[in-house]
Amino acid sequence: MSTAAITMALGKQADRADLGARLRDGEPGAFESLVSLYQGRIARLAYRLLGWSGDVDDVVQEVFLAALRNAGSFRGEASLWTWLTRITLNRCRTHQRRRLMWQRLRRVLSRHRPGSSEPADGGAVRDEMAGAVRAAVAALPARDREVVVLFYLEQQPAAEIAALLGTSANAVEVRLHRARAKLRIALQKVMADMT
Amino acid sequence: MRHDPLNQLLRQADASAAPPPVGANLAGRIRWRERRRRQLRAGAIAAIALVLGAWICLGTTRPHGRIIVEDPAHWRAELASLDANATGHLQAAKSLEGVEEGSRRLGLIELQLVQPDVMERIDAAREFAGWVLVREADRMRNQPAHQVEARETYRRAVRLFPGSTAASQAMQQLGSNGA
Repeated sequence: MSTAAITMALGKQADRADLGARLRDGEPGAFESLVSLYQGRIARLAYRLLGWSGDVDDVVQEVFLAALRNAGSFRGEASLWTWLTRITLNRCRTHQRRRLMWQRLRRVLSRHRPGSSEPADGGAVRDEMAGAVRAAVAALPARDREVVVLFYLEQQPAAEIAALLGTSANAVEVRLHRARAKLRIALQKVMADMT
Repeated sequence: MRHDPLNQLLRQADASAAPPPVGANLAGRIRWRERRRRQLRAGAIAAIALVLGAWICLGTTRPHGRIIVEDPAHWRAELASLDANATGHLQAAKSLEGVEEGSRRLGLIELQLVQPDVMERIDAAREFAGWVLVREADRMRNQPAHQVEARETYRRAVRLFPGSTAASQAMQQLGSNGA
């Protein structure tokens, strides 16, 4: 990495630390900066956590709304990204709980057979293999899906995931192992085709 | 670990997914939602306060709708009225007591009027006692061993109860016996 790149990265870090303080002090424009800086990442994270489906826009709004309401309690002990990730995890869980409840209610009312729901990405599947992988991840239990998304797609180490989820690194490893086993079973055919 | 086929598959699947659908002007929409939430909360608080106030007002009214006023003059008037009532009751009790005392005295007088005269009662008692002595003397006169005692008893009746019918009877017995 060149000196200029390192200087730029350090400058960005300082700006973000400063943004946390500005946000806490309720400085005008700080919230807008936070949204423009993290909107894309939070939307991607929420999209993955929801299984590449669901009302991502609504969840992202709720995440930033919670950040706006609780900005005064942000102490700067963790990074803004870690703080926002925690909020996103909680909001996605709430959203999924609500979605599950509605699905069950709809199923009871319409007496549809279970498993007759729409495809995971709402019909925007570009190829069959990717669609199958996304469907397999979406079918995982929420806790397992969280560790898969954070570990494989957000590239977070197990210790960091443990801190985000409020659990131990060992527990994260166990969950990962379990999720991998489930995915391997679900994607047996796809993986065989790859090899 | 991350170079396993699963990692590759997941990353490919994620990369090929459609971009997350997020609308424009996110910060503006969030600010609007927050403002609306605050307005709703303020409205709800005002409504609750209104209902609570109305409830408190209704709770402090009497059944006929007159509001209880915590006025010292009101309480003073209430106390004066109670005091006047108490005085009236006391006076009535005193007058009743006076009537009862009068009745008691009248009863005593009536009792005195109904009973016989004291002197008459003394005379009757003297007669009774004199006759007791005469009867005792009569009993002893019939016994030969007590003739002397019988005469002495007649004399005592004459001496103690002079002028009584018992004394006259005793004198007759003494004269007939030659005493």
